[in-house]
Amino acid sequence: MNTAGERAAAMPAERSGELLRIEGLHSGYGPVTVLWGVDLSVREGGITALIGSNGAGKSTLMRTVSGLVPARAGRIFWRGAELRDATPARVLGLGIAHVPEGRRLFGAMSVEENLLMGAYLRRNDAAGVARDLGRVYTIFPKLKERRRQAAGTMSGGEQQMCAIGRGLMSAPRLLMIDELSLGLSPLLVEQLVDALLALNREGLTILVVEQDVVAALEVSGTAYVMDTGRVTQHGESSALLADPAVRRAYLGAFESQGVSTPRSGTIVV
Amino acid sequence: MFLQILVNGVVLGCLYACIAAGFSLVWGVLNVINLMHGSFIVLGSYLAWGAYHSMGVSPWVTIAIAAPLFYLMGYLVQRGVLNRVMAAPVLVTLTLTFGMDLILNNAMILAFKADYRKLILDPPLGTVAWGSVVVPVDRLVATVFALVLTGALYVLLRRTRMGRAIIAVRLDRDAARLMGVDVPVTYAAAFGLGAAMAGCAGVLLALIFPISPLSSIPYLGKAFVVCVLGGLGSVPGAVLGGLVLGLVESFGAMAIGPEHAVTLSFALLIGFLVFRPQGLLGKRGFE
Amino acid sequence: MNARSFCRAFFCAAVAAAPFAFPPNAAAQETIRFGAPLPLTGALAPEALKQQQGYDLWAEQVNKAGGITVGGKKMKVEIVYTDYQSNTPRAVQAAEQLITQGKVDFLFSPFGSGAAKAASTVSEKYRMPTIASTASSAQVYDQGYKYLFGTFTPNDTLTTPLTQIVAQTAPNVKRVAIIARNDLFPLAIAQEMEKSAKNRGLEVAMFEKYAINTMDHSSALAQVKAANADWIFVTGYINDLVLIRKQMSDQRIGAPVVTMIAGPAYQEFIDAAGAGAENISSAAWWHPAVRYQGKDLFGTADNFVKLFRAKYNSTPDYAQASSAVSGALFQMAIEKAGSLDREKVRDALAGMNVVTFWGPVHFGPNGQIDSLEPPVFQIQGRKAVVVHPPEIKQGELQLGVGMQK
Repeated sequence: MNTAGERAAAMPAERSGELLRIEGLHSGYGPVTVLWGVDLSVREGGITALIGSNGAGKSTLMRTVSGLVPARAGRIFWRGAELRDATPARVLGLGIAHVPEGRRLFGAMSVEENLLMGAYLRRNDAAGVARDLGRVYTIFPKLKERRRQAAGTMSGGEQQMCAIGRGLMSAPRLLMIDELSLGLSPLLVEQLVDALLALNREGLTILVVEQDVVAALEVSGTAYVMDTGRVTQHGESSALLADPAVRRAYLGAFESQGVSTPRSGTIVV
Repeated sequence: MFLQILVNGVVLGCLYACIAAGFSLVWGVLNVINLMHGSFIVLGSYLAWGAYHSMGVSPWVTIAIAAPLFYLMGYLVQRGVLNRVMAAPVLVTLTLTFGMDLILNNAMILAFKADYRKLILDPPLGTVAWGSVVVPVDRLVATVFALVLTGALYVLLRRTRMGRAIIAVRLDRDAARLMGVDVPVTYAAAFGLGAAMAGCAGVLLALIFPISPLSSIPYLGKAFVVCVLGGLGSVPGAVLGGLVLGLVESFGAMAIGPEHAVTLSFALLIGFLVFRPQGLLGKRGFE
Repeated sequence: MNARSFCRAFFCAAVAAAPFAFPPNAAAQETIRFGAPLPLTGALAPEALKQQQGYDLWAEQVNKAGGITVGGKKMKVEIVYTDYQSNTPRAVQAAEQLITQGKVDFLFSPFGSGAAKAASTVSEKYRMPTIASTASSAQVYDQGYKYLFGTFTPNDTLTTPLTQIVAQTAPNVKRVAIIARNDLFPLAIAQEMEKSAKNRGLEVAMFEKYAINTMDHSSALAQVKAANADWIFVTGYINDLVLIRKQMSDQRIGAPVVTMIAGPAYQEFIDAAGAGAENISSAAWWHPAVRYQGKDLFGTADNFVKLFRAKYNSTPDYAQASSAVSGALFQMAIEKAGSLDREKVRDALAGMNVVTFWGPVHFGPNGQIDSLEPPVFQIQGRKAVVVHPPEIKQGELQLGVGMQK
C-alpha cells in the first residue's frame, strides 16, 4: 500500500525555481467574471494539483494561462518573465502545453495526425519531432497500435492518452492537464497516472486539474483548492489529504484508503 | 442514348465539383457563405478569355496564373475585410459578401458589358467518340483538369502544414489555437484557396459556356446545391455532390424535360435540407 | 454610421433623386419625346442594341429634315431610353416611369413578345399610343387593347412558308424535332411550327422546352439525336442558338434541314457560329433584299440599308428595320393627325394603310400588322440568302447541316 507520503518521498527533490507564478488573476467570459484574484505558483519539476467543485474556475484558469481567454487583471509570470496578452501560439512556444478539458482531439484526423498537430510549431525540427513521436508511442503503445485510426473512434481512455501525447509533442516544460480522469475507469486512471509520474521523473513539470480529489492529492506534491473563482487553500498535498476540513468538504464519507498502483512507467491495458 | 446521357452527367458533374469545392471549403472552415464565389468564377473566365484573345495565352497556361493570382486576392479579402466579422453571426458575413458581390458583379458589367463572350479555341478541339457516345474534347479536357484541381486541393489539405492547420481549425478552432495555429492567417489561407479554386474553375468553364457577369448567380446556385448534397467542408463530398447533381440534371432532363432540370435540382436541394441536411458525406469527411 | 442609418440615408437620397432621373422639358414643348424602355444590359442586350440603332437612325434622319410636321409647325424628335436589365417586371416599371415621370408623348414597347405584352397594360391604362417593334406572338395582342400596335406579323406567317418550302424542296423530310426556349415568343413560334408541320403531314418526333438561361443543352440534344429527325427546329434568342449550334456539333448531331429562329438573320450569329452556320434556315419579317416602294422617309430597303451602313458601318437586319419603321409610322400618324393629341394619333395609326420600305403596313383590329409576307432565308457562304417568296428570291434551299461523313 502506497500512501501519499511514500509517493511524495519517492519523487525527485523538487528543484527550486518557480516555473509559473500567477498573481491576482481576474478572468472571465463576456459579462461574467469567473476568476476573482487567483494566486498560484508551480514549482519546476513537481506535480501540482488544482482541485475544487464544478464552476470553481479551474478550467478558466488554465485557459487564461494558455491564452485562450484574455486576462482582465493580474499578472502571469513564466520563468520570471511576465506574460502579457500572450497568444496561445506564444504560450506554447514558451513551453506551456495545455491538454484541454474534454480532450478536444481532432476527431476526424488519425491518431498520428493528432500527435503531429501537437508539434505544429516545431517546423524546423523534423528529427526532434520524430524522436518525440517515438517516445510517445513508447509511453503509450496502444496509440502506436491505433496510429492510423481516426482519433474520434477510440475509447475514452485511449483518447486521453492521445490528448496527453499530443501535448507532449510540443516538448513542453510545463504540461497542464484539465480533467485527467473524467469518464475513465479507475484502472485507466491508474495507468495514466503512472505514465505521468514517469514523465515527471524525467523532468516534466505537471499542473493537473482533477475531479478525483484522492487521486489528485496522492499524485501531486502541491495542491491548490479553488472555490468560486478564488484559491481557498493550498499547501503540501499530503497535508491537505489529512486535513479534516478538506476531507469533509470534498471527500464526503471517505475513509483513509490507499489505492495501490503498480510501479512501472508503461501502461498495460 | 442512356450511355450518352450518363457520360454527359459525369462530365458535367466533375465540372460542378470543381465549381463547388472552393465554396464548400470556405463555408465549412470559416462558416462563411461566400456569395462572391460565382463572380470569382466569372472573373476567372474573363481572365482566360482576355489572355487568349488578346495575348494568345492558352487557357491551360492561364490556370497556372489564375491560381496564385486568385489566392492572393482571396487572402487579402479575408484578411482585410471578412476577418472583421468572423465573430459575428453567419447572416452578417452573408450580407457582407452579398454587398461585395454586388460591387464586383456590377464592376464587371461596367468593364465587360453584360453581353456574352465566347472563348473560341483556334483550332477547335473537336469531338471524340466511343461507340455511340460522343464527347467534345474541350469538355473532356476541362473535366480532367477539374478532377486534377480538386484532387490537388485534397492533397494540399491533407499533406501540407497549412492544409492540416485548415482542417484542424475546421474541426476544433480552440484546440487548433492550442496547437499554436494562427487562426486569422489560417482563415485567410482557406479563403484564398477557395478563391483560387473558383478562378481556376472559371478558366475551365470559359471553354464550355458563354462568359458573362450574369452567369455568376447560376454558378453560385450550383455550388450551393452541390454543397448541400455532398456535405460541407469536404472535398470528397464536393465531388460526390457534383456527380449526383450532374447525373440528376442529365437524367432528369430526359425524364421530365430540360426546362425542369434546374427545378429538379433545387427540389433535390430542399429534400436534402429536410431529410439529410448534413449531405451525403457531411459529418464524416472532415468532421 | 451603422447599417440601419446608412440604409435610411440611402433610401432618402434615392427618393429625392428620382424626379431628376427623367427631366421633363421645362420650356414650352419643342421636341416630341418618345419613350424606349430597353434591355440595355443583361442577356438580351444584343437585341436592345439593334432596336436602339433603328430608333436613333430614324430620329437622326427626321431631325435632319427639320423634324416632324405637326399641324404646320416642325418639331424635332427625342428618344428617351431606360435600361430594364433584361428583367421583364422591370420593363413594365420602366414603361410606367417613362409615361408618368418621363412625360413622354409616345412609347415604344420593350423588347420581345413577353415584355411587350406585360408592358402593354401600362400603355392601355394611360392611353398611350405604343408601337411594338419586336413582338410577334398573337398572344401579345389578344387583350383587346386599343393603344398597342405591332410591326411583326403573327408567328404562323413564318412557319407556314417554311414548311411549304421544305415540303417542296425536300419531300423526304418526314420527322421533325423541336426544341423551344421556354419564353413567350420562342415557345409560341415553336408551337406554330408544330401545327404547321402536322398540317403538312410531317411527324413531330419530339418537342422539348428548355429553361431561360440554360447553358447546357446536352440532354435535350441527346434526345434529338435519338429521335433521328430529318428536320431540327430550334427557337430561342441569339445567345441560345449559338450555344445550341455548338453543342450540336459537340455531339455530332446533324440533319438535312436545321431551322433556327430568331438569330440567324443577325450577322452576329453568322460570325459566332462560324462554319456551323452553313445551311441553317430561318425566317424573318424583313430582309435587305425586299423591294417595296415606300411612302416613309426611308422609301426603299436599299436606301435604308445605305443610310444604316453610313451611320453604323454594318448591314441592318429585320430588328433594326422594324424599329426604324416604327418611328416612321409614328411620324406618318402624327403628320396625318396634325397634332400630338394621343387619341388622334392613335386613330391615325389604327387607320393606317400605307407602303413603307418595311412592306405594306395595315394594322388588324387587334393592333398587329396583317399585311406582310415574311421572307424565308438560309445562310449560304456566310451570307443570308432569301429563298421565299418567289418575287424576291435570291437562291434555292440547300440541304444538310452538320452532317458527318
